[in-house]
Amino acid sequence: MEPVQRQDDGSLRVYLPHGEGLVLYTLPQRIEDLLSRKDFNRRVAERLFPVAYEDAGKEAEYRKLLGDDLRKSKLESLEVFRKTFEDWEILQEGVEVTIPERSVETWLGFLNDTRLYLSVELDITENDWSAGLDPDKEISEELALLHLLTWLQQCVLDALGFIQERYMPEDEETAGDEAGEG
Amino acid sequence: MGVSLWQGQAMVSATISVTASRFYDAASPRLSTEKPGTVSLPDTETATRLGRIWNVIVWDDPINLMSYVVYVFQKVFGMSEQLATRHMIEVHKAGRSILTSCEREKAELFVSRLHRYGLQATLEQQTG
Repeated sequence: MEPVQRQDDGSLRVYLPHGEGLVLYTLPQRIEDLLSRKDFNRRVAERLFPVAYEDAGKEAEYRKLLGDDLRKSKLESLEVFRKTFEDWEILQEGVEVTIPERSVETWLGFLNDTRLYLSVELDITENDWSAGLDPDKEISEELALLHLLTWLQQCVLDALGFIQERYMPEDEETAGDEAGEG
Repeated sequence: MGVSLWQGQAMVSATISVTASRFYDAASPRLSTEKPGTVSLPDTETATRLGRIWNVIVWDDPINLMSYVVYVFQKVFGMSEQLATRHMIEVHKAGRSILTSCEREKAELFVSRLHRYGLQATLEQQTG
C-alpha cells in the first residue's frame, strides 16, 4: 500500500508505522524547542527568511511590506501540520492522518521548512548529500529525520503526480541522487 | 530509508518555553533600522518603482527536491509542467533561472510567494 494516497475529494490520506507517526506527531513542538535554544543557528533564520535584494535599503522596504506575511505563513504551516496529527487515527498497524485538500500546500511547506532547517544544522551544501546512504550504518538523529521527511515529502508529491524520476536530468538518472535543486 | 531508526526512540519532552508565534518572531530577521508606522515612499522613489522592470530569479539549493520545485513553479506562476521543468533544470545546471520579468511590486509578490515555499529567490533590476 502506498504511504500517501489521494482521495476523490482531493484530500491526502497518510499511513505511517507507529514509530514514524510519533516522530511526526511531536515534530512541530520539537522544532519550536530546537529553534528556541540559546545557541540557535542564525543561518537557519537567514535560510527560512532569505533576502530578496542585495541592496540593504530595498531589502528594508521589502521586509516592511512583506516580512510579516512571510512570518505568518510559516507559523500557519506549522499549525496546519500540528492540527492534522492532532486528528490522527491510531490503528493496530500504524497511524493514519488526513490532509484536507486546502491544507496540502501548507503541509508540504512545513515539511520543506523543517528539511531546510535540518540542512543548515547539518551544514549540507552539496546535492549529493543523500547519495550512498548505508542503512546499516549509524547516522545522526538530524540526518535520519531529514531522510524521513524527504521520503515523506516525495510520497506526498508522488500522490499529487509530481514524481521525482520524471524531472531528473537524463545524464543524472543513474546517479542515485535523491535531492535536487531549489 | 532507514526509518526503523526512529522506532522505540525516546522523544523530546514537551517542555517548551516559547509559543510558535514567539519562535517565528525570534527567527524572522528584523532590521535594526526598522521603525513602527506605515511605509511612505518619496515621490521620486515611487516613480522609480513603477518605471523599471525587475527579474525574479530563483537560485540553486541542495535540499529542495526537483519534483517540489516543479510543483512550486506551477503553483506560483501557473506554468505548464514542461516550462516549469525547463526552469528547474536550468537552476540545477546553471545555478539560477529568471522566472519572470515584471514591475517591481509584482516581482516582490512573486519572490515573497517563492520564499513561503522555501525557495531561494531574489529580485534583480533588468538592464539595457
